[in-house]
Amino acid sequence: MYKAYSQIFWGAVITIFNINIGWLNLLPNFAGYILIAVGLSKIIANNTNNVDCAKKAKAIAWVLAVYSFVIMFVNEAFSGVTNSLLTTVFMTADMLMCFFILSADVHGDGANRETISKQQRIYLIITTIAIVSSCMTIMIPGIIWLTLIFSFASKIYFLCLCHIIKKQFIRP
Amino acid sequence: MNKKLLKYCLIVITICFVGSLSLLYVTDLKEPVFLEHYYELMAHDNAYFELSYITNYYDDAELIYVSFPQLEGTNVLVTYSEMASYSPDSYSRYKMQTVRVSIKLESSEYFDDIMLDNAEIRLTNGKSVTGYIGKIVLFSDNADQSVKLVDTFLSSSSNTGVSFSDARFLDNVSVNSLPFALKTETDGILKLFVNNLSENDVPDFSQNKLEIASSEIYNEAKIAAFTDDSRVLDESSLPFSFYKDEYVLMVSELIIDDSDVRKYNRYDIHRRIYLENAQGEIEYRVLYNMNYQPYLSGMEIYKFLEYKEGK
Repeated sequence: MYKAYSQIFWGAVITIFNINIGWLNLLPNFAGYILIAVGLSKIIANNTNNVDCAKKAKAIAWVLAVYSFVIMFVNEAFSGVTNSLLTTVFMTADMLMCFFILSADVHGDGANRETISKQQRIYLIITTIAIVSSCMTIMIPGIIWLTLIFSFASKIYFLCLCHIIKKQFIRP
Repeated sequence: MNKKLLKYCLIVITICFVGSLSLLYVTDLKEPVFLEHYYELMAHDNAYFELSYITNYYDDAELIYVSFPQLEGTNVLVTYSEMASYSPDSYSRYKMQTVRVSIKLESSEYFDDIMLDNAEIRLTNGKSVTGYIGKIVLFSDNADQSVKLVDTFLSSSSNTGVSFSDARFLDNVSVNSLPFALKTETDGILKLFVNNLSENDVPDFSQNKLEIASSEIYNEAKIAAFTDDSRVLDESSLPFSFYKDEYVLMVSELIIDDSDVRKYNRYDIHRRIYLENAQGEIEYRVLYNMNYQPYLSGMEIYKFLEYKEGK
């Protein structure tokens, strides 16, 4: 389980940061989502209490991986409005995936599950603010900074939660 | 446990998403909307004017062609270059695009005034838009270079809409004609005054002219002359006489009240003044710097579009 959450943690890191050398992105988002899906497969294989949540998260991770891969090639074809709309849908799917990943632990046997449950609520609220402001950038482009701040905060918060969950398990 | 909260979050997101899409649909500009331009310009090879239009903020289509139906069959050619995209503020739904249209004359033959009121633009997204652009009057330079009735036209202007031009007359002259095609469109907002300058106000023209024009003392003299006794120069005051060695200051005012819908328009007027001496020799001069450009905030663009729709 330590390894599974470690893979989810590093998958999430890849989806947050981008390192580009010219046109080449060394940390493509789709690779991050694949790593998360692989980690979730391990959780599904090792746990019987929270398989449903992990399965849902895994399905969304694969959808996001495919979407991220496709968007790398066709992003330029979309107008600013379409991009904003797609970003909103993408962020919502990402939020659902992260919610189910955290739920997999909340409903599981982790020692800190009450704490994680509270933190999951905070995560949902921060992410919802980010998505709502992303919706509003369609009409008010200037508030993009609000979206960036809150989506970055929610991602970092999710990383911290993954790290906390990971520490519940013994390192192999 | 947090499924209820998730449900609420998804409801909020859905409401915002649908709301944004609805607003987007309602406020979407199907095609660019031109500002109204009221220009009266002398057409020569280095002349240019600017066309502004409003588009959606996210429209990234670039202009690839601009033409004016009224220029067909004339010796006036135009080329364009896209100048700038101006967003009134980053919270606006729209942005203003400006195109510089440069004039090129095929020949130096005199032509009657040409009035442009429609423009066609084509964009990289395949859209072609023909719209009302206001009235742009192009006139031909028919100055007789051998006639010299007036000297030292120095011009200066300020961002308050007031500009000055001074002149010294070399002969007794009268102004018999003040051709002005945009009289109706500028009624009440454009005024032209003439003031005599006293000997004390007159600078030493043997000095550097630019230095004189920027001299603080001289500027003060101009303002003093303007406020003392100004004579309105318009068609009702013709013929207007000037005397040999008389120094005058011509003051133009282009000021638009905030409640006037003309504040949304662009103006650039080159006023023609025909001077004639007793021998019937005619010289004409052009007064520049009568221009106005609106700086529209996001809210003012909404109001402008409502006004255009109502029109």
